[in-house]
Amino acid sequence: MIKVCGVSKSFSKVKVLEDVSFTVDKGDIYGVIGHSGAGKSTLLRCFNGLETYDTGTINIMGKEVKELTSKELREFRKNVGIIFQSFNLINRKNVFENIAFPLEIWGKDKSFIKERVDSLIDLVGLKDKVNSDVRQLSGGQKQRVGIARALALNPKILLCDEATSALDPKTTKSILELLRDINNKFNITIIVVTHQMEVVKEICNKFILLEGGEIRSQGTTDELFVRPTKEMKTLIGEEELLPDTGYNIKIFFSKEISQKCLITSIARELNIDFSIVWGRLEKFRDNVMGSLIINASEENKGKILNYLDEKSIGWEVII
Amino acid sequence: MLFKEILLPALLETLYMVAISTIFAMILGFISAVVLIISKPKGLRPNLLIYKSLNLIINILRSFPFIILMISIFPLTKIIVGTTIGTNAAIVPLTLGAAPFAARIIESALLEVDYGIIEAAKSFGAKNHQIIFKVMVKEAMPSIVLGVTLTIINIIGYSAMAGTIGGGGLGDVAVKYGYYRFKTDIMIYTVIILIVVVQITQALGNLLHRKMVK
Repeated sequence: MIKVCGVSKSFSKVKVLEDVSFTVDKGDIYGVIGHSGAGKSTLLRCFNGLETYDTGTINIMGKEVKELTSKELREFRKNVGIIFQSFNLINRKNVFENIAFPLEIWGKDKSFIKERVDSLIDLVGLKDKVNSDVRQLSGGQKQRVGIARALALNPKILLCDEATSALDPKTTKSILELLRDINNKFNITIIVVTHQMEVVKEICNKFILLEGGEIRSQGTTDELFVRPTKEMKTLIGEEELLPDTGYNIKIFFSKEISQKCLITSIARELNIDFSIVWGRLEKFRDNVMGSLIINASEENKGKILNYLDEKSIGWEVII
Repeated sequence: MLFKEILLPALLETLYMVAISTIFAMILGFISAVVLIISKPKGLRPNLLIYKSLNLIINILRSFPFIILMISIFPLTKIIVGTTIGTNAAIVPLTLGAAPFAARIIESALLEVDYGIIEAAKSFGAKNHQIIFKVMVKEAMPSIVLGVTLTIINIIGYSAMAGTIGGGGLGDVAVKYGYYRFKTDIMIYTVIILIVVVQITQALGNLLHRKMVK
């Protein structure tokens, strides 16, 4: 669907993107995560030609974005909807007119527009706000209008540029749910650019981590949360404070073992003592995932590791 | 008597001059502002030559004190209207004096439009003219309305000056009767009428603006 290959870009002398490559498949919700200034928005804006890139290729649905003429680019943009952090709605148009705007641009007739906009308003749950002034809407409602507008032309891809960064956690969640619904219902590929870890965790199936314009981490989201890489930990701001004595063993909890009384069974079955010194368990969609670090004495180390291996549970000794 | 024979015709002349020159000045100003916005660096279609030349012309025209501008373009006025005296003749310098002002006002109103909104329109495949008229002008309309109000009031002020050198209108009356003939009462009346006209204009402008932003 989208194939990014060796993309680099610099603004005058500053490198914003460096040799970025990844592939997005149809139906993916793909996360691009990183700190502000990591180049993630720039990357996203290259996808619909709002920005250009210096080298490399971005191939979307068989077309090289850079090579499109301005007329082709306009045509191409019909297939790529976008929503923004600041919503970017036209303040002097009401909800209906905002959503109708892309359709008007493409010269659709009135009855078609009415039908399409009504169904979109239904989809995003703003039925009672059809004629409201957009200035009177809350942030979440504005983003719903933004989503409806982005979907008006029936795009195959939806780009989200920090779409939830201006919203509170609860509203963020409802917007993310809406995006997931849309992804399920219409099989639209969604690219999510964000600095919020929760967003990736909540809806993305794959992700890349950008830092200083380079990809530092890349993979599926489940993996990421069970075994975060060093870069991910920096981003989350997580550092483990562990005791200096004994051995620290990190046990990875996947969704299968999180409910299997693992810790208590180690203690009972091996008849040993150990302390839990660090842990991170998180709700991941509808499952629990994460890791626990236990501290055990040297003599028990072998037993524990054997036990974990027997049950084929992931572990790592931290020194 | 005084009102019917002197002040009313003068008021009508002033309103006529102001109205016609406002229309022309707005048309010229609007076109220039749109050209500036499109051709500016990072505009929809950057063209430095056009941008800089137009900028220069506007700045030059704006540097002229109005009364000097009026006299110096007499030849042009003669070509367009056939005479340099009278209300119609005054419309030419009034238009040329106010158009650059209007251009700047409209330009800044258009510049105020959030770039994100323009980008959003681009992202949906809008053509440049759609972005300008359906997005930028639409969004900037409340500011443009205030700008037009400002322009009109400016033109009213200019028109009084035009009156002194044969343009007619309230300025003419004030100078002829109030200044040369020491008729202070007429002078005061014209000032009061001008105050009322300006007040009404500003009130209407504010009202329209408020209606637009709700």
